[in-house]
Amino acid sequence: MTVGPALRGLGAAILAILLLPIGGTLLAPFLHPDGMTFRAELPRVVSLLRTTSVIAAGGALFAVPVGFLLALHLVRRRPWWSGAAWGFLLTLLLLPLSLQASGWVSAFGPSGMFPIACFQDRAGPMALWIVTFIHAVAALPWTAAIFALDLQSRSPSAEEEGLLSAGWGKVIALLLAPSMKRSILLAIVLAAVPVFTDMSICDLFAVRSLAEEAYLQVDLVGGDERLTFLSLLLAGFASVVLAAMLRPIIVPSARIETNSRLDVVGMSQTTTARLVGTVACLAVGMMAIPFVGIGWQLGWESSGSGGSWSFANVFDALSSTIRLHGAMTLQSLIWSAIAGSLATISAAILAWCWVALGPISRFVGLVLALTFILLPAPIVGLALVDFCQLPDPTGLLAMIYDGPAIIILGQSLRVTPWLFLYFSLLLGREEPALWENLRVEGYGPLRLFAVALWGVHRSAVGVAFLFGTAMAAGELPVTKIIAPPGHDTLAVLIFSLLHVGTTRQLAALATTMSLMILCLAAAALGVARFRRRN
Amino acid sequence: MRRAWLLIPLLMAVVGCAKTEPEVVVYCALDREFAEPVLQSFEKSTGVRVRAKYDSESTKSVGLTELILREKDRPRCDVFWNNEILQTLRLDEAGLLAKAEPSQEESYPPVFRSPVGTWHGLAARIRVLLVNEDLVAPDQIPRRLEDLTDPKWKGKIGIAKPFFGTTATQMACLAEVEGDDWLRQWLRGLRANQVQVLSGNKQVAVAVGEGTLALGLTDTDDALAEIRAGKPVRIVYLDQGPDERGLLYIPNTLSLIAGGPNPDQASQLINFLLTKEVEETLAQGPSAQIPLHGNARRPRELVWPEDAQRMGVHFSAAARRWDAVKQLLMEELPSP
Repeated sequence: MTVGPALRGLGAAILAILLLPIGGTLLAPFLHPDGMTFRAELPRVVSLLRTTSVIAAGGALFAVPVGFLLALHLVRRRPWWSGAAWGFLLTLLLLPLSLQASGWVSAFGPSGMFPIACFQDRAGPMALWIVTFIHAVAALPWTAAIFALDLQSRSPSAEEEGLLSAGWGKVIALLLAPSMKRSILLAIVLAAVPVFTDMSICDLFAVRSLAEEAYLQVDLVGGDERLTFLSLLLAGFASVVLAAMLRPIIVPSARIETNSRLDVVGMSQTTTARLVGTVACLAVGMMAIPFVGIGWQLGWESSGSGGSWSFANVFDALSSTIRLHGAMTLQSLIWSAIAGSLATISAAILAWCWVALGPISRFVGLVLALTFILLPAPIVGLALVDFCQLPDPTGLLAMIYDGPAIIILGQSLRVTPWLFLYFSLLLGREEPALWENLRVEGYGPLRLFAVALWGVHRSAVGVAFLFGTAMAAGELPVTKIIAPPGHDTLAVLIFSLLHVGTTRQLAALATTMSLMILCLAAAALGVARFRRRN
Repeated sequence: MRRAWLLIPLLMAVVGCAKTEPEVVVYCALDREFAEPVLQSFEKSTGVRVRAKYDSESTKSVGLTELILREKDRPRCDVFWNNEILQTLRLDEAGLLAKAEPSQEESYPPVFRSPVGTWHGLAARIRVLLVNEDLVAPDQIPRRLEDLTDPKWKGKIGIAKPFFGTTATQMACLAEVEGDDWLRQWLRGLRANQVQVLSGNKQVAVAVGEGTLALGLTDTDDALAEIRAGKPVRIVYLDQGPDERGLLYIPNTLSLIAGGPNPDQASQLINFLLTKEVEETLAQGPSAQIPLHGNARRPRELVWPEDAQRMGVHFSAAARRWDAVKQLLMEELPSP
């Protein structure tokens, strides 16, 4: 497939814009290798790695099998509530972890709906397990999504035949699991990645993990080069492993099956089927608990020895939030939409260029994108700050730094790699013959690109934009560092209030953000379903 | 090209409109809920727009300090309102603060302002021990910091992350007053007692109030919040015996950033904040800060000994020790 010089140049320019702001920081450890010794810190680093690995492993051990059963139930059984469940799962995928953590504290914390002793025991031995549990439940939408994509790409006929002679248990163990090894591996990695990159839950419960240490170190010493080197090492290694796992998925052979529902009479009555359904329902219920906590916090007014919950309180809290923060919410949504648009266009161009590359270059491209995703956010945030302090006679950097442009840039940096993976998956699965035929008919490279994105995959572009906007709206760690004075985003405000304690104001903000993301997720789902039908 | 004009609002949203009204940029480490009303009051009375950047509980002053350090070649901040003093002194050492001459300067004790006018203290907090009265008998209450290493308190003590805020200041001041060896031994004693390191002073106070901890080192404002909430807690002022080290008063500090874009408005703001009225607002309000202005009234509910001994510490010397103290803390308080 030919890309053409114009698109190639544009792709290179976009890559330069993405890499330039943080390139200096990433290269610094290699330009000053003298300080790259870890001997003194090795015990601490090992201890942090151990804690992080325990949380990641515990989270994956829970989220992978439960996510698999949830996906199996939703895709193969298609209960009447599956549409709502997918909307809910997609919303959870996009909500920041700090918001979900606030929900758990609203539900079970000291002033929560049902105070539990271990939730009050911050920094005690139970804190580690609470953090693991919250990460595990937060990982469920990711693992369920991976398994759902896999199940949807294969015909259920093999399972139907298997169910005629054996039960669900044997079909899962002997048929599905062996053929879904790549998805299982990917699900394990997706369950583990947030533990390594997001510090909000560990910070809240005072558990020292690698991500929390990165946040601490960056704030303490301002981007220690050793921290950058260590992060690059870990992110690079993980990216190579992930890229190797993703490559087989991005092949131009698998298509999404339009009929993925199982159709075996009496199948639903078996014990295993009931167990799968029960686990699926429990999983969805568990993921809903933080929102029940937030809802309770929203309407609860304590007084004297007790308190009461009322819709009037809910209305008061929400209307007060809209009054105080409505303008800020709308403003940050606009910024996120701009970041989502820029990320969508950039990712589409980069993915288009990527598809035309050879296998080794494609692999390197994947590794680069994944490294971007896995790099601790504080490093990216401070790299942007440093970049904007470079000598600049035009004053452009100062203008960017002191306005919403820096927020948009930071959010775009974080979202573009994810959308790049999405477009790579999409475009990589297309038959090359389709583009060859169009090229033979006289379509130039630019027109080919336009037809591909705006003609064939228009709804996918819509999905990417909505997804990108939601991700940008929920972006916290980079935005927190770079947001100029007087420019707040909803995610940052929620995080800052979270440390003060769970209150009705926090619950109202969390509800506002959840509803915003839900609308975007529902719109994305609607566009995706419309696309599949057409 | 015909639709190029559509890009104008987009560009304005992205780059921001050129400023038409006077403004001042504040980096504020004091809790937003306390500082924002004061800053809004300044806006209303002067017409100067305040653009404030806050930070989250556990990393407040350090995160903002790092930003100011990184922005030193092109400062964006005009006024740094720190809720403690250590990080302000770091900036002073780095030569990033400018001299301010507020009109109310003489109303404040010399120990709480820079001798050259680069920082001014106000609205202090005292480092105290908060005790849960249901869990600790009156005759068991610790009286000195060293008493916290008694094995009978194993698993029952909490402190905030010692790398930030007033806890960090306390660590640096203790190192300055007692020496590194004393601090190392004390931290080892705390670690042996399985001290719980929570994300902030507020979390420590809440844990003591809820009874999950018996004792907690925190600040007077967070301790008072628990008393106001009706929790069975009591504030203990440690080290008040003869020849003991005394109480550590940690002031909020205001500083003018050298080269800031709005120096006149910044001086105006500092003048406003160093008034008796602002001190009383911070004292009588939920933040319960202790006014340092000679004529301001103390918080109603906070009672401490009239002849309370104050720790004689040179804040500048303590600030110079910070890098070594930080290293010591990382060695002695490892991750779980």
